[in-house]
Amino acid sequence: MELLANLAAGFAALLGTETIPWWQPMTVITIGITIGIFVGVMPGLSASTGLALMVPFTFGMEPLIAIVFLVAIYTSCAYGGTITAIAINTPGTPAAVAVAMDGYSLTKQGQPGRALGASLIANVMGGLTGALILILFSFPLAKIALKFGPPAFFSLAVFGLTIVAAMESKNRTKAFFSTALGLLLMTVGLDIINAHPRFTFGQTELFDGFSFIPALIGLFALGEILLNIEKTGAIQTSVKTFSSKLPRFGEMWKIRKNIFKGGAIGALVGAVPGAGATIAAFVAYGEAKRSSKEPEKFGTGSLEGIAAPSAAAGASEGGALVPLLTLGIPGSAATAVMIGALTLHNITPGPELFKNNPVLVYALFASLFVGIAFMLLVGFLGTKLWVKLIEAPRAVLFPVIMTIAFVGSFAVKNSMFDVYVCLGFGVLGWLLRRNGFPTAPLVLAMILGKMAETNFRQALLSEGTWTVFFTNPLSLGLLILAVFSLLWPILKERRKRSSTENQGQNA
Amino acid sequence: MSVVGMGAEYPDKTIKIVVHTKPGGAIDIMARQVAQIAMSYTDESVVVVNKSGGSGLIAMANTYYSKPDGYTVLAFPAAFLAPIQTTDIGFGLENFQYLACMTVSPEAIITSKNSDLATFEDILSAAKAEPGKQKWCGPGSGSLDHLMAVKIWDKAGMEAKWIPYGGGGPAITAVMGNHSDVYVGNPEDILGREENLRIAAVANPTRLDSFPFAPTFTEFGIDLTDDVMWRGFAVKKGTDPKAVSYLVDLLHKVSKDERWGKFVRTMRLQSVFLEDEEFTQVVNRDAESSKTYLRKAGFKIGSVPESAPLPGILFAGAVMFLLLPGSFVLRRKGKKLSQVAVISLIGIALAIVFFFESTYFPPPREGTVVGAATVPQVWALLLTILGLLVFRSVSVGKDAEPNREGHSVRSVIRITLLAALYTILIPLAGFFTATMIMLVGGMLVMGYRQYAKLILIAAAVLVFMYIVFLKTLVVPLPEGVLL
Repeated sequence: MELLANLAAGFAALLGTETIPWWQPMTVITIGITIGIFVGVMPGLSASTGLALMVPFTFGMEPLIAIVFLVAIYTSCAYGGTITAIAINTPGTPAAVAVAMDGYSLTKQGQPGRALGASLIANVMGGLTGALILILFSFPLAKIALKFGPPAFFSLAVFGLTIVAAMESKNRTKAFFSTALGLLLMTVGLDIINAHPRFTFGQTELFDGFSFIPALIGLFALGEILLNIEKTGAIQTSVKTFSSKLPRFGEMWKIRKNIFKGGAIGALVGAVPGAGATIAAFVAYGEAKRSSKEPEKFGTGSLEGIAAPSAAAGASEGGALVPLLTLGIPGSAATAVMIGALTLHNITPGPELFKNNPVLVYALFASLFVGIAFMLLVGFLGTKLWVKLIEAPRAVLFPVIMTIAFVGSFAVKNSMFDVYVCLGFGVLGWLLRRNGFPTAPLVLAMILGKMAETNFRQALLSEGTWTVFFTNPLSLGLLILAVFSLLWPILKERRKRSSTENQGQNA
Repeated sequence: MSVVGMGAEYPDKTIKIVVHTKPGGAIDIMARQVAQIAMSYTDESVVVVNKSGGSGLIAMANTYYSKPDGYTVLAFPAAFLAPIQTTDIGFGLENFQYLACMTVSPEAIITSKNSDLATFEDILSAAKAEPGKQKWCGPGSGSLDHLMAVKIWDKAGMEAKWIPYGGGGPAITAVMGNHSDVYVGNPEDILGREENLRIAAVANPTRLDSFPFAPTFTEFGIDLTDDVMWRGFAVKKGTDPKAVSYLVDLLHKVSKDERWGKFVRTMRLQSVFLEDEEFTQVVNRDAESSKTYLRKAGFKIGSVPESAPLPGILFAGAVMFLLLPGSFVLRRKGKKLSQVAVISLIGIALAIVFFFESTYFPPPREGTVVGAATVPQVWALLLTILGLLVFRSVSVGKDAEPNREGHSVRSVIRITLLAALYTILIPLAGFFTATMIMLVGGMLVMGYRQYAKLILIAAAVLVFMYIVFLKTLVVPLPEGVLL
C-alpha cells in the first residue's frame, strides 16, 4: 500500500509541483523521447553518448525535471536502434543486431510496417515488464546481481557465445568461423591484466582495439549497402512498394508469451551490472527460437524473432536502473553517465535516495510509465515516416547512409581512425555475407570476447584455481545452460531428421 | 609583424579543451564546468573535445601534434603519468607546459561493510596471516591506483595481489559483492554507497572535512600523506608566453568563481589552484614516484615492446590480400577458385600470424598460468580448426557457390574506392566539402541522373547535418583545412 501511495505521489509530481509548472514534465518527456529515438536511430550515437551530450542542457533545470528528461532519452534509445535495424539492416544500437535478423527479412518482403509495429509493441511491453520488476523487486534483485563475480561473468559470456548455435541452423560451421574470427580480432589492444599492447604494431589508435561501434556500423550498414549494390538489378525489381501496415492484434496476442519471456530475460540480465542489453537481446532470441513451434521461420521474418529481442532490449533498461538506484553502481555505460549527471544536481543515486528523496525516485518510476505511453505514440506516428524514407531511390539512400555511417563512426571517439575501421569492416562484412558467413555471430563475439577473457583471467588471478568455474554455483549453472544451448539445437535437428526418416520407412 | 601573433590578439578563435575520456567521465564533467564558467571571462567560446582511448595517450598525442598556439588545451590528470612513462611514443612529460592544477583528491582505500576489514589495521593483519592472498582491485594495471597499492604494500611491508577491473565502477562493484577485498580509489567513490562501503584509510595529513569519519594512514603509523589524484590543464611546450599567461589567468578566474566552488563541493573534491611553476613541481615529484613504483610493479620504463619481425607479418598480409582479388579474377577465367575457401584460408593465415606474434608476449606473472598470450592462442587455434572445417566442406562440394548472375562486383569496387577517397578527403578538404563530393559522386556512381534533384538532395543533407549534429546535438564532426 505504501508503494501505491508513493507511486501516486510520483505521478502527482509529474503533473507539476509548487516549483514546477504543470506543463514542464510532460514537455521534457516528449522532447526526451524524440531525442532518444533519434539518437538510437543514428548509428554511432549510443544512449551513453546521447545522454552525455544532453547533460549540459539540464544544468538550468530543476533536479526532478532533469532526471525525468534523462530517463526519457535513456528509455527510448533502444527502440530507435531497432528502427534502422529493421528498415535498412543497420542496427543503431548493438542490441538491435538481434532484431535485425528477422526484422530486415520482413522489410525485404515488403512489410516493414509489420516488423516496426511488432518491435515497437514488444519494446513497450518489455519496458513495462522491466519497470514493474524494477519497482517491485529491485532490492532482492540487486542482491543477486552483486553475486556475479569474475567466474559467473565468464560463464555468462560463454553462455552468450553458445547462442550462435541456435541462431544459425543453415551455416553452422560458417557461423562458428565468424564467431572465432570476432573473438580473435577482439584480442587486439592493451591487455587489461598486464597492460601489454597486443597486435597493435606500434599504433596508438589500436591500444583500445577496434572500436566496437564503428566495426558494427561497417559490418552492417556498409556491408549491406555493398551487398545490395552488387545485386542492384535483382533488388529493385523484387519489391517496389513497402507497406506501412502494422501487425494485427491477433498476431501479437499469439506471441504474448514470447514478449513477456523476453521482457523477463531483459530485466534480469539488465540488472546484472556489466551484462547489458545486447546479451539480453541475444539470449531472448535464442530462447524464443528454442521454445518456438516454428523455429525454421527464424531468420526469414518471424514475428517471434523480432518481438523477443525487442522486448528484452526494452526491459533491460529498467533492469539496469536496479543497481543504479539500489546500490549506486552503474550497470552500463549509459547509467554511468546518468550517475555523473545526477551528481551534478546534488543527487547521489543509491539506497539513501529512497529515504531522503522518495518523491524523486517514484517520480522517476512514474516517468517510466508515462514515457512508455509517449513512446508508443511517437513510435506509431513515426512508422509511416520510416517506411516513406526507405522507399527513396537506393541511388540516393545509399550514399546518404554511407556518409551518416562515417559521421557516426567518427563521433564515437572523435577519431578518423575509426572511420577507416568502419570502412575496413564494411568490406569484410560484404565479403563474408556474399559467401554465406553470417555477421551477427561476429558482432556477438566482439561483445563477449573481451568479457570472457577479462573475467577468465580475473577469476584465475583471484582464486588461483581452475575449479572455481565449477564450484561457484552461479557459474556452474550458467555453464550447464551453455552446454544445453550449444547441444539442444543440434540434437533437436538430429531427432527431427531421424523421425522424418522413420516416417518415410513406415509409409 | 610577429611570427606568432600575426598581429591579432590572443584569443581570437575558439579554445578547445581536449579530454581523454568519453563524454560523462569524471574529468569530462570537470572540463565542461571549466569551459562553461570560463566563457563568462573571455569573449571567445571554450569547447570540450573528447579524444578517448589508449589510457590518455591519444589525447596527449593530439595536443602534442597540434600547433603550439594556445588554442588546444589538454585536461591533464595524474593518471597520465604512468601511461606516458611506460610507452615509447616519441614525446614525454617534458613536452608539455603545465598551466594550473584545479582539483585534488587524496588516494584512499575502501572496503565493504560486509567484510571484517574495518580499518587498515585489519587489512594489514589479514594480509600478514596469508601473504599474497588478499585481493586489491582498481581500474587498470599500471594505473595511478595500482601504483598506490604497490606503494602501500611497500610502506606497510605486506603482500597482496592486484586485480584490475578495467574501470573504477566495476572494481567498486567487485568489492561490494565481496569478490575483492580492498578497492583503491578516492573518498568520493563511496558517495551514495555509504551503507555498503567504508573508507579504511586516506592518504592525507589530517582527517578530511568532507569525510571526517575516515582515518588517515598516519593514524596507523604509515607515512602516506600527500598522495593525491590531481586534475589540471596543460598546453604543448613552446606555446606563446602571452597565450600561456592568458590561460593561467583565465583558469585562475574560474577557480575563484562561485559556480566553480559549488561544483567542487558537490563533487566533494578539494579545490586548489597551483600555477605553472608549482604545478610543474608536483608533476615532476609524482612522475619520480610513479617511475619507482612502476618498476616495483614489474613495468619497464619507456620500452618498446618486443614483437615479431615485421617482414614476416607483411609477407603474410600480402599473401592474404593477393588471394582475395585472385578469387574474383580466377573464377572469371573459368577456373573454380571458391571464395569461401579463400576466406577460410585467410582466416587460418590470420590465426597463424596472431599465434606467432603472441609468442613474443611477456610470460605470465608468477603464480599464474594464464598470461597475455593464452587466450589469443586459444582463439587462434579455434579459428584454424573452423577454417579447416569450412575448407573441407567446400572441397567435398557441400558448399555450393551461390548464383551470382547479373551481379556487379565492379560497382561495389567503384563505390568502395569512392568511400576510401572520401575518408582521405575529409582531413584535407574539410568535412562539408568532402561530404558534398561523396554524396554527389555516390549518387552518380549508382546511376542517379536527375542532376538538379541530386544537387538539391546533397545540399539538404549537408544542411541537416549542420543543424542537427553541429548546432543542436553538438556532436563533433571531423575537421579539415577548408570547411
